Amino acid sequence: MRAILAVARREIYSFFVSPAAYVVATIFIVTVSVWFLVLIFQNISAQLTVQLTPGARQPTLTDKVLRPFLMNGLFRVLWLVAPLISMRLLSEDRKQGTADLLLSSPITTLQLVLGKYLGALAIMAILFVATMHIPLFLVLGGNVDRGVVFAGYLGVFLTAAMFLAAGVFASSLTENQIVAALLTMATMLGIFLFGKLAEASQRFLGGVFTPFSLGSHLEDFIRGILDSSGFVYFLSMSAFFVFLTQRTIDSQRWR
Amino acid sequence: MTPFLEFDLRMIIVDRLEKSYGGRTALKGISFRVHRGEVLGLLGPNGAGKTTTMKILTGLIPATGGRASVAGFDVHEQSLEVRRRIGYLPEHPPLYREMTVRGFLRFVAELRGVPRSKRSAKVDRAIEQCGLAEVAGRIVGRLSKGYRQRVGLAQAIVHDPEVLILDEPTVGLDPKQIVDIRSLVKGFGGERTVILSTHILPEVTMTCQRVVIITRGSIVAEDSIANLTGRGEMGERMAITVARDLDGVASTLAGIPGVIGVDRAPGEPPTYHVSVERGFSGKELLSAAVVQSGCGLLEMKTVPETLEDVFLDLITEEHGVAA
Repeated sequence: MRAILAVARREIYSFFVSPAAYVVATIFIVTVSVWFLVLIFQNISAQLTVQLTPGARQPTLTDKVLRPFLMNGLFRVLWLVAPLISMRLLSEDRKQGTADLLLSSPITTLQLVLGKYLGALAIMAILFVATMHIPLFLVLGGNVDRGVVFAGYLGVFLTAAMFLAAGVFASSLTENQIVAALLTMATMLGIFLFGKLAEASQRFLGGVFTPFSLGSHLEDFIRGILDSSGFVYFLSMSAFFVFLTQRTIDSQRWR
Repeated sequence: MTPFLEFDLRMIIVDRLEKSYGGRTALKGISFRVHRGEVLGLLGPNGAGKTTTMKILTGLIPATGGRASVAGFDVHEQSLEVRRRIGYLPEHPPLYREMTVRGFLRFVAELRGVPRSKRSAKVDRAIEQCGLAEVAGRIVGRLSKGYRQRVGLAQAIVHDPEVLILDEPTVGLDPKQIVDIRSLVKGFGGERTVILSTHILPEVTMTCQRVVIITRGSIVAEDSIANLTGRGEMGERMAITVARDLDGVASTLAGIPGVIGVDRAPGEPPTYHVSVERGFSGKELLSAAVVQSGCGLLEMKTVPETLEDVFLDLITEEHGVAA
């Protein structure tokens, strides 16, 4: 555990002393905030419309702002931010020669990979916390479902955790950060598209692939439902990528 | 974990180690031993297999044949135990350029398992030993190459390892820095076991007690520095300087029993390099022959064979065989 934390801490340190970190953080926070503003403006005009048709069900702030914010704002920006966080993890070590230091240290490959992964998760968590002003604003200023805030954030974060695990894996395959980022995006896209196929094929395949649908798991969380199958999906996918990374590094070591 | 060989004075054992990358053979079954507290020089031209040997010892790559052990632990089977005991400076010092010197060394100490309570003291000691005190708070990436190399050395010793593996520790440094690093490394002997690779001969003479000369993946010589330079595989060499160059002197000298070869060295005054057998007893005959030939003996001396001569002889032989 000591070694894992040492690697993770160093990763967080290096991220936040690099100027690129502030570009990533700015992209994340600005995108998410602007998206929130857009939703608020849309909601103001929507309320006017709604009031003109009496008797209809009044849509809540949760429906109109919070859920679209989680699904279209927070989730979408992960496509850019997750690869940017994970791309340097192992590829940079290979390029700079620090891999020799890490691999000749008395730590196991799994400890190394978990340390890198934990570091990336912590960076992502810090960025998530930096957007907390938005749900806080909704909770304090309006009447939103706090359960949805909690479950929704958790769901998007678990998705981010899965994407970062894919990113750690991609960064173990190349010493080029750009290639690592592109591979991460490709893997994320693969996961997403496979989920879409799984949903679409439900009717004639009887839903054998439904457990692999990213969209339906995420929607559950955003509806405020904490389903164990969602946890199983995100955690096992993450573990799978961590395992692949470990095998990749070991095969490079023993080649 | 039980060591695969009994604990003894031999700290590092390399036994018929082989390595091939794809079709290319980098190591052709080399064997050598390093004793506790010894500084061993691994000498050879670039591409001889020095780095490969070191990478196998540090567990970075596997051997394709043979075995090696450090402190009694097999480098492949008990890699973690081996890695607990070594400090390693690769060819390119592995540095996180964005960290401060002290921060980086703290990280390495933690990674290498130094307990929290001792971390500061050990980091301070490494900073002190490697002469980094005045740059301890600076960013590694902004240091000069000499300082970066020292940080590389500091990360190798920060956890107080029993065994140090240093791959070309002085490459790319200026003469002053080279002297500093060499005396530092020399000081490690006794309490630590050191393997140092280099392609620079004086480095070995100055820092090591014993040398293994390796070329094209094979060991061509393994001995103490004193033995290697004194053993004279080619015997001894005499330099005879004369006043006048006369025909036939060379053949006269070559006719004396015990003389292996005579070379006329280029330049003036005329000097002949006479190679003689080991334990040659005909020095008197030699001087008399020169005097009688009438070319005027000016000077006659024994030239000790330098490590450089031995090295060149050995690697040229090897190339001759390979060609």
